[in-house]
Amino acid sequence: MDRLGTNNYTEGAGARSKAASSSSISASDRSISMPNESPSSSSKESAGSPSKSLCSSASTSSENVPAMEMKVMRDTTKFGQSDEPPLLDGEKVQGKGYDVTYLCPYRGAVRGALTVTNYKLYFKSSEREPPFILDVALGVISRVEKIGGATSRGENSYGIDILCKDMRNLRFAHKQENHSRRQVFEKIQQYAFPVTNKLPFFAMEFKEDYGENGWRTYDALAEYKRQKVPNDSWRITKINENYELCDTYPAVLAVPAASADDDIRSVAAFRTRGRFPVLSWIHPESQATITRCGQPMVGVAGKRNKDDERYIQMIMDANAQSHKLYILDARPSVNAVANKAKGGGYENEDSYQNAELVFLDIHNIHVMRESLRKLKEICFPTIDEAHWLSNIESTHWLEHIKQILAGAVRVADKVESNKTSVLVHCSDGWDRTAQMTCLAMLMLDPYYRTIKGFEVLIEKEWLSFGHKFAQRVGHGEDKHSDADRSPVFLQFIDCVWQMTKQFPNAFEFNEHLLITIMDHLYSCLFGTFLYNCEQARVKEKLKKNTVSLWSFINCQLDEFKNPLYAQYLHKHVLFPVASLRRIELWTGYYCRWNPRMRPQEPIHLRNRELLVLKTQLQQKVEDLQRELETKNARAALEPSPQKSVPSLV
Amino acid sequence: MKEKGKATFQSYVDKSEETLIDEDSNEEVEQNASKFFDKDLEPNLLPGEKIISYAKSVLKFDPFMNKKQGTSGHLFVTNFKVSFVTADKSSYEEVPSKSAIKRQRNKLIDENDIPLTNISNIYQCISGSKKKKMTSGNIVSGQTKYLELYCKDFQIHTFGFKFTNKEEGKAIVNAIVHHTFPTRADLLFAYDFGDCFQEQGGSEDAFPEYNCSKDWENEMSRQNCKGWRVTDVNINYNLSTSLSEYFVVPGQLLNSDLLQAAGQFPSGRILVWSFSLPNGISLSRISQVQQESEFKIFEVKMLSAIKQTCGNSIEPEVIDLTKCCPTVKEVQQSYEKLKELCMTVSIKEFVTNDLSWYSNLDNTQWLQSICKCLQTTDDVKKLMVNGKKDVVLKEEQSYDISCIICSLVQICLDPYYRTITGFQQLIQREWIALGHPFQKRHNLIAATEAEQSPVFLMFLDCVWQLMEQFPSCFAFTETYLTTLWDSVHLGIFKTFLFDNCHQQKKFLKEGRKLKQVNLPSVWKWNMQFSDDDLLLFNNPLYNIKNLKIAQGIKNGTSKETALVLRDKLYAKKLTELYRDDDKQLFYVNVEVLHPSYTSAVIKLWKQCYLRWNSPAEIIGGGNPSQYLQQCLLVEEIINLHHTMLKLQKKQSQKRPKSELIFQNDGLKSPTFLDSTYLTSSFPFTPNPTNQGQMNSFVYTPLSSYLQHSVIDYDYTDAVE
Repeated sequence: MDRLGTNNYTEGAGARSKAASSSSISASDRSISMPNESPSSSSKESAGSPSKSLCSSASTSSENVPAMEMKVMRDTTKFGQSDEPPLLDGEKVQGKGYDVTYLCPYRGAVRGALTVTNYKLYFKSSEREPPFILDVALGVISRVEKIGGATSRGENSYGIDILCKDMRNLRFAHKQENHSRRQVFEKIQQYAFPVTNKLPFFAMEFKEDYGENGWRTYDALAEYKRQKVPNDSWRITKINENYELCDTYPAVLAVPAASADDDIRSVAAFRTRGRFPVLSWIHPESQATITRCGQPMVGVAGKRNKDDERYIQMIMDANAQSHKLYILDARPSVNAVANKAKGGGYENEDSYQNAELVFLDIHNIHVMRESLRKLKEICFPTIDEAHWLSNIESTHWLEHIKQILAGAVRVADKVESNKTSVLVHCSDGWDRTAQMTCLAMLMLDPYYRTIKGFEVLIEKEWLSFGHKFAQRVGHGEDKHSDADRSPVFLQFIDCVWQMTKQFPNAFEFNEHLLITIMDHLYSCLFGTFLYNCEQARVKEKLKKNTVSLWSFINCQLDEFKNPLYAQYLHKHVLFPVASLRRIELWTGYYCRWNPRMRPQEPIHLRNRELLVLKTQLQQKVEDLQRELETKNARAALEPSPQKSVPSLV
Repeated sequence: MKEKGKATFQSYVDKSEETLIDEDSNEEVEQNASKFFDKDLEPNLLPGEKIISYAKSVLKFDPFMNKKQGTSGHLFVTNFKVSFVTADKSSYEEVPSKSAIKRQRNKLIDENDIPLTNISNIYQCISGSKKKKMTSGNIVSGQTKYLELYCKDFQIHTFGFKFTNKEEGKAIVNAIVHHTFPTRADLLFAYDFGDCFQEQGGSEDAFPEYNCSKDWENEMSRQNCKGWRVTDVNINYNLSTSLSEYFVVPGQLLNSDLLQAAGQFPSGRILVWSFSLPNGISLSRISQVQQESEFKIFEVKMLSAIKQTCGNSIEPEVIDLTKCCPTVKEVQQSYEKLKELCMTVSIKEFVTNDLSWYSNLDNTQWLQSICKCLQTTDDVKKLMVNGKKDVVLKEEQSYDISCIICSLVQICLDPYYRTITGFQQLIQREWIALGHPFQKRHNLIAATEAEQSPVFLMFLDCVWQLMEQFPSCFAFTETYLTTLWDSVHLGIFKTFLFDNCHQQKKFLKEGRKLKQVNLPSVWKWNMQFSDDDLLLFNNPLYNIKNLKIAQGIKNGTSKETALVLRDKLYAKKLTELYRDDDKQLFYVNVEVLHPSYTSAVIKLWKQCYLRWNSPAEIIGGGNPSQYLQQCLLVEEIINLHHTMLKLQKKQSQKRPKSELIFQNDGLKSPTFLDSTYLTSSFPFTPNPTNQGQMNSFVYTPLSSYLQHSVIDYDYTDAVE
């Protein structure tokens, strides 16, 4: 906070464009996003120099650049004057096309050079002042296509079409006679889909040292300890230490103290993919808990498992405040019933005494994928002015967001208001279940609303409990129509954004953090989101071989802080309003490529200025007080009647 | 849904509805009757206000509780308002129970008072769920079960008459219907009030009303406007009863020219000046010439006179607002749909409408109309600034959409109109003096359907959109705008009661009994609100700019302070948008606003339209939590700055006032901070309805904002 000074403030000005782009590393489309505004207005000497549109901090004089970013950007100046892209550690140029035209949907065609590296695609045009730069991590690409053939006529009809996971498409036109398309296309195809091509992720080659080790952010035992587990009713088990009982669960788990390991084995056998009920969160006062699992293997025959029933009773008994347990099945009831045919299903209330089953009506991954597809259609590249709101409704995206939030509010309300424990599951317990537990925990526990706490939350509920990031995002795979892909995590981040909108001073982090997380979910620059479960990550030694996204974030926390954060006001539970009257489309993410969607005078900058001013004054006052004390100490011989200095926080 | 109401309410129905009916209600009525003479159970009356009818044992239902929870009390109708008086009055001075209390308190009306002019529709429910819309002239004979009052401030009040004496119930319902829809102007309460009202304060703080040539001259000289003149051609409303007696026309035009032309324009509404840029480029308004072709010559003459005011060689651009803006009728149609959408009676309705919320909102066309207004504003602004063209706004009568666009253009071009004083002067000049027909548009006296239209609300909404887009550029807040809209419906301010100055003058001069009367102006805000409430009109992001603290802490290094830098950045950004024109930009340091008008940035003004929708209320959050945090930061900055100056021994420096809610000397009644709870509806927070399902809301009193602040509440040091 102390060092939050002027230069960071200009960063803030740049953060406007940052928020609108990938991040300062994967740098992105600053020049697309901020055609007029990207140059940092504060630096006179470098104004107009090409490097500045890459990153606002790169354009300021070096003393103003936060050291951490400088490391990343160190090559910038070297390449500043040419068309060469700034390269990250381990990054190499793989292919290049000159005289390529980028068909920008907002600003028209621009001519320049297109470079492909093993990490990114970099287009630069000096036709415009400042130079136009497009910088896209290859990981974001879901599909590359050639358009037009050797005989194509007409301007810009021959080239490459790129479909991205982050709500945009890119189109480059090549000249047939230059024969540049083939190389560029092949290199993109090769490095955008390393898994398909049996290449390592770029994350394995990226070795930046941010001076922070984000891999230390989450320590399961420490987090359980923070929740005061183990305690009388809950114990830590290492039954899954070798990922043998459940390959998608983490090694360290918390279970009812009353349960024996043999019970657990039996329960795991009765739950989908061995995902037996484990602790997510415990209320510090009432001891009501949130537990999560996969669906019971009831099947058409309505099978029962005494151990499972007893185990559920143990979860109930671990909370002395209530003699009831809610089982919240995140699915619509029809889907839950349909799952019986596949051997799954839901708990029969007759078998599970004192348990009440409620369906939360959240749709499956396929419905969500289709909804996002429609959303992209109406958001990119331009919107239909006349029917904008009706179009939003027709995608059902916000309706799904509402349903997810409403489900989580229900979980939180049962735990907080009824002091009753809640067991959450869906089919496998790694998609909708993660959304439910995670959002409810954000509502219930202010710790998760801090930056570090939020990182822990994602590490715990999403990564360690086996949300299949690799499948859902399709990291490095050339299978754009894969039915396993789905924006489950994006929906979670969207819900968090909705909460930050409803409670502007309850979260330590800002929108920029959420967008940065989304960008690096796709970029494959960091190891954090690679692979499907803890077991695979351990096997691939990600902690050793890759950098954690949290290292990058934690080394520049000021960038991600919400200036209005007032922790003391929100020590308690937050209940967001799950009504479409209060749920909005996150245009700052979904429509960010469209310059017309950007705020004119972004309020977060104004808020940040207030905080900067306050911090500067605080610093100044402290300095003056110290000065005064020194003076007084010197004049200690004759006690001065001077009025004491008002104390400051 | 099964939760009981909070104990502060005299509960009566709930699940025990049946038992209550079985009770001997006569006893209760008698008890109440004796209480009635208790002073506390009578409404507070304004000068000239008289009780017309009352009924005992009327139930006022809490909103969204399916008529299952509420309060019992007496219902009064006066010539001014419908007033519900109950024994268990809650007030913010008292130690609060866990109920959020409305912060904003109007001195003229109590929390349960509804001015008759605020009521837009009355629905009577006799049995079941059938509703009958009551209009002027309707007489009720049977027993009324419920009465629903739909108000122009988007609130719905529901009263039940189950336990009310039949005759009393009938009488009061008839009285409400009769007095809500007066058929003649002389039935307005304003006459009674005006008879008794004495203007407080001298003339030195008089607000310009543009009813004398001095006010116009002052405005012209403030704008440094040359080539135009104030004309007295309309003295005694010779030329037009719809315009003020004085207005501004091109200097070239003689009074005789004006008189000659006047006959060809509807209501004599000839060309009238609105605004000039420092380089002389002007904005003016004109009505549609009758029978275009034949009398076009008068229009041409006026337009060429504009050219001569500043020697502009380019022809003025005439913008036909009927082609690019919503019509008065469309505004009204959108408004009706918007009301239907936002005014929800029951949870059930709220929930069923939720999934189609966005398409319904789309269907109202309200936001699209706003887009059009902002786009037209931007076009006009560009014509004037980039095109260097004089602009004339043309509309049939030139007193509806012209007022919106004229005002918005000025707000965008001149920061003065973004201060409270400037904004009020703008409304007084463009809307009141130049004759926007408030009386007709807001149906104060039996207006026809076609005459009604909330053009003024659409304007306020456009201003709100600009405030959203430019959060630090306006001195006032959305609370100010919402309050202004509410004040239109109080029915006692001369500002909003009349169709034009002529009507107003006649009223004030003659009254009902040919005796001069007095009415207050709405701009005397302290008539309505306490100083604490008025602080909520001020925008911390704007105030901090004026405090000039940023420059003060410039230390020895070359670093620029945040705010100085900010202003530079911002100025830069604005000029960048004008890059082509950069060199010839005729004004510097003027922040010109360039409104966005794409559908995706136009939002629903939730504070105004949804504040009474408790199921959509965010407890402990919403825009107000951002606002209050900003206020707190500004207050802390002022305090730190002051401490710094003291440490530097610059004793002469006074601690400046922030004029914001946590202001040092604004804490005379700290209890209000303890008893005011934060929700998204602040400061209009209605009584919480406690929707059962969620019974563990943690209410945040405003005082908790101060818990960890660095504000030093050392009163010895406060401003003298």
